[in-house]
Amino acid sequence: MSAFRGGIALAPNKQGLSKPITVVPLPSELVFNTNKPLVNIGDTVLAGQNIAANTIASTSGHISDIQTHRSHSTITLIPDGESKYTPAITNAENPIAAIEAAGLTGLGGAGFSTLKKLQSQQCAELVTLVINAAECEPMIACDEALMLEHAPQVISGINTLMQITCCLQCIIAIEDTKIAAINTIKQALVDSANPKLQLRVIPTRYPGGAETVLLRQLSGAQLTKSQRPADHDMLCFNVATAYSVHHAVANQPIFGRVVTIAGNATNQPCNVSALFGTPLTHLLQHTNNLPGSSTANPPTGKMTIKIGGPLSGRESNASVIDLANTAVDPNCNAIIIERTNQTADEQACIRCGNCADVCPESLLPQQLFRYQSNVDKLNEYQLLNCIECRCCDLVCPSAIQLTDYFKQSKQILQKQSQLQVDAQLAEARYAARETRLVRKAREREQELLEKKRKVAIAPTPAAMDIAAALARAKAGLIKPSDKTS
Amino acid sequence: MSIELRSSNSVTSVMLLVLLALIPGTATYAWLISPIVIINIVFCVLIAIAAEAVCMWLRNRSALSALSDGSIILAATLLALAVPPQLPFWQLGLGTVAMVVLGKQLYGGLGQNLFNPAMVGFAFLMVSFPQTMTIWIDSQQQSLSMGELIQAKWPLSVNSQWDSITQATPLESIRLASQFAADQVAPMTQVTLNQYVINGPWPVINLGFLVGGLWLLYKRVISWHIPLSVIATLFVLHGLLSLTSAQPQIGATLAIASGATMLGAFFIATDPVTAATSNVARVIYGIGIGSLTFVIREWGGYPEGFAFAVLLMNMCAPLIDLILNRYAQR
Repeated sequence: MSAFRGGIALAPNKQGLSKPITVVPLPSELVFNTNKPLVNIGDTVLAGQNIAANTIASTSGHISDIQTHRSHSTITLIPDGESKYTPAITNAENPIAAIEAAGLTGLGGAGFSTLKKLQSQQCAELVTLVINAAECEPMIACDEALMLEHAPQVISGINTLMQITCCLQCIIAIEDTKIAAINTIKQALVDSANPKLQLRVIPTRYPGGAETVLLRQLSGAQLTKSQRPADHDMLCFNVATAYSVHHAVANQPIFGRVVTIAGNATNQPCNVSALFGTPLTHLLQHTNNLPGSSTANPPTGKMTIKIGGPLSGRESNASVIDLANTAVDPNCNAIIIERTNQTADEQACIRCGNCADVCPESLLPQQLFRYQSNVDKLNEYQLLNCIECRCCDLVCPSAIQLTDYFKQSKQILQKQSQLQVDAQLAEARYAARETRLVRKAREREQELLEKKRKVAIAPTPAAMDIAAALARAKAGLIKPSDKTS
Repeated sequence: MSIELRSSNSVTSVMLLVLLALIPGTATYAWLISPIVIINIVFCVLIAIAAEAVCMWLRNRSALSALSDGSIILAATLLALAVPPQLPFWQLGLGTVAMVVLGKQLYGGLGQNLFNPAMVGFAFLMVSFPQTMTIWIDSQQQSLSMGELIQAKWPLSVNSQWDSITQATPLESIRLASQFAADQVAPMTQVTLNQYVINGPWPVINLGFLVGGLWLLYKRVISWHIPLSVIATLFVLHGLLSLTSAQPQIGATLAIASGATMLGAFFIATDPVTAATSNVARVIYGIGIGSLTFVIREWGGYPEGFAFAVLLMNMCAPLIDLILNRYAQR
């Protein structure tokens, strides 16, 4: 077991694990933020039906509203409470068909389609299937809770993934502080008796569960930004995805996930199981964690709500985030509600290099910060390899939120490469137009020549008369003297 | 970002730790050479704060935010420790203003400067006042009281009568001694040279700075790369010279225990703003400082070359970073 370079040993702080996962009751309406709706208001939909590109209805019911905003559309679904599956789900006969019918999405955070990942590697006989159960970010405990309560189903899902991909071995990676989860998984492994499956305990060190970092510490493989794990003979799934696969192949997919609710401004940190589309207000109300609902602790300090972990999550002020219109989606692994009194003011970078010491990708954040709008330098210092883990932010003595700057710089790079693509397209268009004009001019010239030649071949009647007269004259039929006389 | 996850260090606390680490070296300096160094430090710090405040006011920025990080207090302290203690106040003050304005504020303040501000101030004084900058109080013959020394620092030019109590910097006297050795009836032997250095105050002062520097390493305020490479380079080069030279030379061990070696290696060369940035680059940077210091000490015009070595390597630091990054990507 070798620790990876960089990273920080952070206290796990998994708050809600003492209680079992509670199921959030069906809300009165589900909300889906998406684009390109495929349904209309009043349509009746079934669980598993595509209601928009990359979005499926998580239960059956009817569409009550579709709001179109500038960047996205919000579909509101009123559940009928029967949760009727589409025929494709109930009739699916093999695992791949079942996963396709269930429209599974990876639950690890990248939101990649499980079907696409599996189809590209179906019976590819890669060496290693990696199940990411590290859950390295503090506070997030949804995967750990899942393993504590549903280890046999998780292992069953992993076995299905192994059958589909024909990998030679499977490594389940868990951090060493998750002792109870390690034990339940161990027991489930003994029960399943598949010798290809093995458990790998990794050190508790953030961000050891980030895909590139995990694969590096398991195999030493250096993934660059443009590479997939398959380029290094590996395939990576999140442990929660494996659990979803188990239910999908049993023709009973669950269109939801476990969500951690934690943070010092919550009344009851917990892990809940919620359907996709459950509005966050419903989730927080049900768990008695709605901000402002507490009277025990008079609110002091600035409150932040983060969708995702305390480090990798999207941060928003409670007022900015519209809790009723934000819903659980496959990437929503945690809701962190915190109050802080301290605010650290950003100071000048003194180039101490603490950030470079903790960077798991061996980047030089101080250089990326210095050259934050210099496209060439950003590429030279490999900004695109940044996994936005925020380790550098944590150790910066000047309290600089480096990752925020890097996100902006990435947009600059993106814009730049888009400009390049546009320029190349424009150039290609120009070149095509030029050749087309040249070709047309040549064609017209050709046509004119052709016409002239036709004129030459097929003379006009007058010319024919003259020609005939000349011919007669030559033949001596008409003598010039006759005319004069 | 939740504050709880953040480590508690800040720029201000880093600067404070470095200032604390300077105490053992400063205390031995004050005890063995002259307590006037304490007055110099206070003087420099006050002038630097005033100069920084004026600059920030001229730049239309908050003076308090710039001063609160403590970086200028540290730089002023380092400058006061680097110059000869009896340097007249007006020269010391000019050097401090040059440090703040030329060394720091003209580049845009903390984090933007190319050169180490304290060494900019030092170089400014060295080229402006070479006479006063190269004579040091001879502690072994010191007979003046503090009051007399302070009085001596007030006039606008150095009174020639004080030449009797001053001498060249220790390294300079060693160089002179070894140069004259051939002509002397009783040449200075290696033994007497060593004796001369060991009996002087500098080994103990360097020990004081070494203790503070090791504490900074222990507190992880600095990394080992720069100090070790500077000291090791000086050790090896001085060692090679004393092995190959026929004349008595300051040995490798005494070389790193004299002059500004420890102060420079742990407190000046490690200034992160102006040093190279990756660990390998830092080692190269340190080797560069050690080599240049050695070259200037042995063959240059100045007795102690640390300041110029640091300034020269400051210029090279971005280049070292650039080349190493390109090499690393290959």
